[in-house]
Amino acid sequence: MNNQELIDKLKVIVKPYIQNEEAYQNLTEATKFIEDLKINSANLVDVILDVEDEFDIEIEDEEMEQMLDVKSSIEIITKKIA
Amino acid sequence: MVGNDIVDLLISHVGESPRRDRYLKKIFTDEEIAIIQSLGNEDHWIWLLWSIKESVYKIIARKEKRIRYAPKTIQCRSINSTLKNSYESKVEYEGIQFSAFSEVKPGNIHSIAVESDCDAYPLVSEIFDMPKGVNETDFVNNKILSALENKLEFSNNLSIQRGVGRVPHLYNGNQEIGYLSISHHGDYGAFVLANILSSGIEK
Repeated sequence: MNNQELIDKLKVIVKPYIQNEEAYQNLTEATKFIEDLKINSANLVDVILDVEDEFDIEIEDEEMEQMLDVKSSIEIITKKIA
Repeated sequence: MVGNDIVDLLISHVGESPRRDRYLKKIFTDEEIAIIQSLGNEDHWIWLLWSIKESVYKIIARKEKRIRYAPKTIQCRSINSTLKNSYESKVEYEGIQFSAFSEVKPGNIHSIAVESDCDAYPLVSEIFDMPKGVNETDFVNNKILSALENKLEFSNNLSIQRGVGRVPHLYNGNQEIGYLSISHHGDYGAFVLANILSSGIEK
């Protein structure tokens, strides 16, 4: 899976939890979940769980701490599914 | 310093098990899950614990000037019911102790946290309704400023600015005053202002 495919999948996953439609439409690797998409901190857990289900991986606490933006999430998912 | 957090119970969901169990394990320590179970395991206890941890997180974000998403590093150690529907809790983060005070209402849960060995004293606190379809930041800022203008003796030119991690800072002219914490979730907004006379600059 290339980066764009991963971003597309991630975009579908975060959609139910975003509160800033404009930032969502313009989502790039640099997009931050909390600051840009305004995802509520309780919903960030839902994103992590949905990522685990979608890619059949388990995200460790230390990895979850890194997953604050699209780029670092893609890096962690790529590492996990390799 | 002071922090606060409001949870709109109507839009807070953890789902059914097994997702519920996975959800809890991502954000709570084993000790906290045991506390939730000892309270009866209903979902509103999850949000009480979450609100407590988030109110402490607001203080940490202000101190560390960064966003950190590591919910299990903020550890609720005990909860006691002080009055009906009111709870006092002890929380720890990297060796620092906090106390939080929470109120459970039919639609929401609101928590206010202070550092235990600090002289922060919450002076003004208010919960308000958030209308739909407004610019949330503008609405919240205006709501808080008008509430404070009625309460503060010296308010002539109050403004709110956001720092790293959207941490709010209250200014009177160009002088930062007190510690302001803001929270909004769903249909509710809340704020708390502490230590109005202190500079607001971290010591």
